[in-house]
Amino acid sequence: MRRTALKHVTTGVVIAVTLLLLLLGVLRARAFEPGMEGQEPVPNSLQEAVMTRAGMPGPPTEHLSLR
Amino acid sequence: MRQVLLLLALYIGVVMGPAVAVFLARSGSGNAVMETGKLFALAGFMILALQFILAARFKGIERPVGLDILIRYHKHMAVFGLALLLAHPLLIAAGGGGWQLLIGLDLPWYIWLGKLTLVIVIATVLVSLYQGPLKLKFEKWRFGHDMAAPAMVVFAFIHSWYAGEDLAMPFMKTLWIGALLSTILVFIHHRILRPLRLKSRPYSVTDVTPESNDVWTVTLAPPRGQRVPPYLPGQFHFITFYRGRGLPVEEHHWTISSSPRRNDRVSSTIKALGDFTSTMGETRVGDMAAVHGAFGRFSHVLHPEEKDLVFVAGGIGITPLMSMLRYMRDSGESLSVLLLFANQNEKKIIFRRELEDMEKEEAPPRLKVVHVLSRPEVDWTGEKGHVDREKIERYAGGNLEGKVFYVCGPPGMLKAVLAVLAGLGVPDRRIRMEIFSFLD
Repeated sequence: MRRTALKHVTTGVVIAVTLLLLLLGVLRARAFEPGMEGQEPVPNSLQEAVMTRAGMPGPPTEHLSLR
Repeated sequence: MRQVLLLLALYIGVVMGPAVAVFLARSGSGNAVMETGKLFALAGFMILALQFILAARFKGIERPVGLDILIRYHKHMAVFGLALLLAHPLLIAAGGGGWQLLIGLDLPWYIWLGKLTLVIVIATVLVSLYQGPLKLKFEKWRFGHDMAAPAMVVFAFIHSWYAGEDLAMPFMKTLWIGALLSTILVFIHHRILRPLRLKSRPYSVTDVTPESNDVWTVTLAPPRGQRVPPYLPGQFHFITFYRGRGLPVEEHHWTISSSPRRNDRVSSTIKALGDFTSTMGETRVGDMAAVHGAFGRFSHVLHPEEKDLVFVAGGIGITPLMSMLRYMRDSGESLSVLLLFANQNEKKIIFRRELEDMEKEEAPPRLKVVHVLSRPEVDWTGEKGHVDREKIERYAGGNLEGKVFYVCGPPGMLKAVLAVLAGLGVPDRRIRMEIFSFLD
């Protein structure tokens, strides 16, 4: 029945989103290194952010005075 | 099914998008509780923004699931979004932000704005969930909802813009502005532009037929030169009547009772159940109406492989089933239908003569009608009481294998019939029901 299916779907979405948020929160905190507060460059784009995260050099940001 | 899964994946993707983006972008603080609190807020905001899309009656989103289910999903997600937003300040405070954030008075204005947003979200969710017990009229609730919903998104946006460290990133700013603008545009489209467009091309009332002392069939014709858009038998539409004479102007949804085979007219059969519907008898030929639809998935047409159907109707719940029966008759579908039609007494039975004519006809569908009266007059010789296990077994036969049940009626009857069917071992997949009110 559609109403039963709705309950299952809702429960699934709630569990999936909550677990993903918890996982990302923990991973994000673990990626932190002491002394790096305010040292990280502020990425201008998601692509730049992903590249930096993956260890690849992103586009230079010095000209933006973001450091 | 594939469409539903795709929509769900898209939904989770959009909700999680900003959280994943900031995760990829910056490592944040070293405190997992604090970080989770921030991410909860990002996801909570996206859920709030998506609520507008869920409620906007977009056909592409509604069609695979049905509007009744979509609105219920909207309600469930409102509670989930509220839970995330409530956890947000608690986690921030517990994660090093300090409890002063929650109990202190000397706080920046944007923190107070965040608190105000939470209060609005809590009030909106609670009032929506308990509208029935609060005896709040639908129109009043809707007006409040229309005021509160945009306010909470705009306030949440401003709060996060100033308080959220992650929103310092230009791409997050872009994403956030995009989410806010999309939300506002959807709201304006759904609540202002579309109603104006529908009102500018109104249908006209061509007939008002009393079916009983408190039920009327209102027939509408589309604007000159237009046809009624295609719909499925069993679907419902939203109608706003413009009748003048001091009669109220409110939008309500009613099941379509006519056959889709006829595309120059569309009818809804309406029972006086409240202040507004009690005025239906005052509707006159020539009155105007804005019509938006059709919606819903309560239709046998969506399951062409099913040939042996049992309809269980309670009172005005006959209307979607009547639309299906009329469509079967008009299109000559060779189906077998048993209709168990529950009413209080004979005077309350609507469509009685038409059902009898259909039953007598040689042409398909093969229809058998059983009237069940809960408070019959003394001379009633038919079935008495309620649609219970004994009657279903007696008329539908001992072997229910292969039969598909369509149930529509008041909540009490629905609950009782569903319990009987469960007791008879009818699997969920062979029970379809119309949840007539969005608020149950």
